[in-house]
Amino acid sequence: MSHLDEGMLHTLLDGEATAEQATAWRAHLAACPACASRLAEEAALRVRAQTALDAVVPDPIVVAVPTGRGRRWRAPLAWAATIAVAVGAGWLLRGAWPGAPAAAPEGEGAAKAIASARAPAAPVTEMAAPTASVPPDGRAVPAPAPAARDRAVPAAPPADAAGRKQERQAAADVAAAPAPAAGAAAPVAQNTAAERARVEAASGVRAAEAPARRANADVDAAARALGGSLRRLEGATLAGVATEEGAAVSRWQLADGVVVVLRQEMQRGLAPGDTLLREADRRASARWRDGDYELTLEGPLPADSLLRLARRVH
Amino acid sequence: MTDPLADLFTTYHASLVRMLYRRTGDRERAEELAQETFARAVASPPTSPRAWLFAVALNLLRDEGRRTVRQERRLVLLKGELPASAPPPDAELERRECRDRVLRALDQLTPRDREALLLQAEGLSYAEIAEATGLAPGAVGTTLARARRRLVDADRALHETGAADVAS
Repeated sequence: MSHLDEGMLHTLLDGEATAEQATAWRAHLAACPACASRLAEEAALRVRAQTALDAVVPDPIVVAVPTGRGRRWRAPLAWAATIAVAVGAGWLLRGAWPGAPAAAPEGEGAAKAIASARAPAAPVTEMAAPTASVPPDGRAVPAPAPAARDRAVPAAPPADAAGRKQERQAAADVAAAPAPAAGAAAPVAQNTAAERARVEAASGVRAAEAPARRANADVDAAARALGGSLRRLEGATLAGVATEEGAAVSRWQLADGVVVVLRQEMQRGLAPGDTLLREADRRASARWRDGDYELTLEGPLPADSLLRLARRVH
Repeated sequence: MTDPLADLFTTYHASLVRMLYRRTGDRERAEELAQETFARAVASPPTSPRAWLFAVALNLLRDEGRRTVRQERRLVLLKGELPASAPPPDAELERRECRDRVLRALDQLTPRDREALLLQAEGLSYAEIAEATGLAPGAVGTTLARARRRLVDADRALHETGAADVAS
């Protein structure tokens, strides 16, 4: 018979050949070195393709739920802290954007609301290949133990309005907390811009770009306000520093002209070792703990680039 | 939920989400589309579920068209990473880069090739793939062969481009 084309070879490799086809094709392969060698190539290709696809699984999404304003963030239930909750955090924030409430809700209530929203409605199998962020020290979102794989996945919002409202408020608290200075999502920017305006009006602090000759003075002022040294972004040029209530906000220009904003403030409860990463369409922000401070780096970059930059903050 | 539907959900939900994620690169959207798919299964429970579910999911994707990109797409808490005092593990960054690269490579496939490939990766048989995508059953093998080659080639090309960028 004539040689085997790639369609036949893959059909064979996928175990989809009929008995007749398999017999005929295998007979040919036994007699034809060219096709046999071709089969080996296609088999290797098939494995490479599968390996590539295996790399494409989404990150676990864990939402840290505040237990009280300013206190350490802690998930209400033990499993929520360590298991990836397969609910898009985005939908938690969905209701928060327009007219996000200024006041944070009762932390415990919000935490409970979210916990109850995640209470199992129907058991769902966790993703077969959950990706866990695996840091060197082993504290991580681990791959769930088999017993723990059945996890409620409320991909749809909870049915009761009260729960939803509390979740929105809690989510607004989550959303409002990092407040990247350069205004990622518009409603968040509205909040922070309004807050900044109030703070500036009250304290008379100038948040304009500092000319080079005043840069050092601004840096000193910021350091004083913080009570500690200002973190810097290595390899970038300082384009301005402003002091807000208890926070130093510095703008850094990268070699290619992109400007990122670094906000440094006293820690607000993010656990050491955790990074809160946020990504909108063309901007990302990363927030992490650095000793007594929390740093937020934000800019018009993809999350990966931003994280790489974050490593250069000292 | 009736019992049969709960079973359907438990059996296929993760697989459906994964396939949708590979198609969209957007976890939240993948979850939403999966939910919508199952909602339709509630309305008219399928007799041969797997091909049906994936067909519905693919149709939903196609019908979606160009959606306005949601402002806030993703909020992720990466446990245990310390960018300042300890850099994120190279392995983690590399993993994400690798994933993003393959997603971009997948974008270079034709829709038909991509669908067949992703369905096969979820364990659908050729017959099921044919049913879900409208391909002739005899054409599935050829489609997969081509899709696999194009994926691997595209991924390699992107990898080489990326390496060149870093080196320059």
